[in-house]
Amino acid sequence: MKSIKSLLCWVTSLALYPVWVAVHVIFELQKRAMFLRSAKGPFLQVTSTSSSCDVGKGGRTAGHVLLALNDASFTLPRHVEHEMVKLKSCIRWAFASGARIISVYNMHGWLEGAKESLMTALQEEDFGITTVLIGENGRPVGWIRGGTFREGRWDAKNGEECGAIFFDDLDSGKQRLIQCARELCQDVKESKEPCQRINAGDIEEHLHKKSRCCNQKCFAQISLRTSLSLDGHTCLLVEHTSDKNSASAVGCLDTPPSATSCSCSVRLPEPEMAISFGPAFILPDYNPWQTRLTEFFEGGELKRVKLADLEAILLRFSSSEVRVGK
Amino acid sequence: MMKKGVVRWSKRLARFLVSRVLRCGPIPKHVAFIMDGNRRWAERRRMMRQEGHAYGFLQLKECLKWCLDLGIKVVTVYAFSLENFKRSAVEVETIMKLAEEKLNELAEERGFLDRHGIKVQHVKAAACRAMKVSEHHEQAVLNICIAYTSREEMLRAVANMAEAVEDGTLKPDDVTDELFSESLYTRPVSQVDLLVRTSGETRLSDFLLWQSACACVQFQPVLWPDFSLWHLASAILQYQRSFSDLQATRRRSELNGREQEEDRSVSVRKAEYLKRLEDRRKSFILRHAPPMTAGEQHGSKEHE
Repeated sequence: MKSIKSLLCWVTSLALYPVWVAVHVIFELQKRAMFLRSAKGPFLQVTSTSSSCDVGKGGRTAGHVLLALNDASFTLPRHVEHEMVKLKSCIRWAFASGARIISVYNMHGWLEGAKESLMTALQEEDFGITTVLIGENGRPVGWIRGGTFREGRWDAKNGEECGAIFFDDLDSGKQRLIQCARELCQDVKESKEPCQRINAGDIEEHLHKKSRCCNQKCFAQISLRTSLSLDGHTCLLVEHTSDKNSASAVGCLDTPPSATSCSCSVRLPEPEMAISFGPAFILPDYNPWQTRLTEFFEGGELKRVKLADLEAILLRFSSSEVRVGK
Repeated sequence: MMKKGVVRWSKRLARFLVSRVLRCGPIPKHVAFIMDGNRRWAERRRMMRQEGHAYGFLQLKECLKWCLDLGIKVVTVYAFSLENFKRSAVEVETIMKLAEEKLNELAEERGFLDRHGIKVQHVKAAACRAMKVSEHHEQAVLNICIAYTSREEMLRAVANMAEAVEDGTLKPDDVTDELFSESLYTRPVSQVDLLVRTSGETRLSDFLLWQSACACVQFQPVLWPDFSLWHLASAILQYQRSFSDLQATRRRSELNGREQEEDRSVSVRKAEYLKRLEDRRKSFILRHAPPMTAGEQHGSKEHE
């Protein structure tokens, strides 16, 4: 009886295979038709960040936006160059929408070889606000104001608005959590911490990026959107929009000659919005500890992204409600 | 009467044909559902919220049958979050009673579990009886997440590994991606292939954060009690269309996490640690499950 049943299933599957192919062809044609319909729309060109996007005004805005690049198809340098132009526009759009921290996370590693070029390309941009570029290990590379890039000391005015662009390495994903678990296990082994007392705070402490900046503590409870000078070292602080009563120190731009070991860490807030760029909508393997309440959106292929698509994402985000279990 | 029979048979035939068409392509091994929208569904129909949850459970039963037809091996559902305890006491109590009642029903429906070889696992001690009754099944797994959050799960995994390091079972360098995945509640099949969330929300809400990295995701605007076979079929089709990109993404992600080949002593330590976790889980179930009835005992012996 079982063999007759499985034979019947096999025969039915064989007979229905053309139907399966036809369904996929229809899906593909539908997708291409949608692309052609929207092809006449404006390409992604955001020219200014001085005025915030009209879309989504009055609703939620994301303080930290994660741009996850998940396209395995392009590896040639000319592809990368083309994508960089689009990526710069996406970053500009994100600042215009109200975000102040942009994380660029690449899942396939194509950005590794192009990071230097992208950094160089971004250094010529004018995002309308002072922007800090943060490279590997949370170390600030430099800052941009009015389209001019500078390294070294940043003489920020008190109350000056600023933003940051993080280039997250591949080890920003699960590997960071694994590293954190190893460090906690090491602490337990060295009897620094009993295993029963490990809590969420310990994990968060270990997850912060460590940056060799200075030997002073760089972050403190201060007002929003200001820079802080501690003992002559200028620290960058970026607004954390979802928590109005605290600010997060992103890092130090001025390393004194006498700097030794680091006691400063970069506390990156959780991304409120994540846009996944690629042919398929796949969740990025960004640090899982930090994506608890992140809203994920499909950006489509980076080379085909339009301003209207991003504005639609912003509209959806601004109208969404976070109930946190209630 | 005849008309009802015809309608029922037509539905069965449609289900059979849809599952046969979909099985021509790759089927996800592990599908996770965030069953959102029960209360909003009830409010739209001017019903009590508790009724929305009851309808939601009925929909879950239907959905599990579709998944079985499609050959999906592991299904994980988000029934209740730790954050949901913020809701009113009446609602929380209703949901817990409903869960208890339905899980007991599931344990009593031995025929259904036995016929399809379904093993029930869940991440909080509320249905040890269903777990005990189904522990010998291997064909499919149903994970029910009650009073669960992913952060708590990851924290528990880290604490378990740290405890093993403290007593010398493991060394800190033994902690890898693979071991971490094996330490989670959803072991042994942790990686989610397809995650479906209903009601149009686009976040994970602290559900399977580790397991759903590099998973195909579908946020569907339909409310959970209205989730139909066609919605599931559309999600599976989307998975099939994304299959090659998914494989490429996972290969890349695995390359990042790949450690050097471990030597025998590391494998032995890990095996010992995992055995201890499994023994601890079994003793927890035995401690909390009520004594089996004569029928249940007979069923277990027959299977052995």
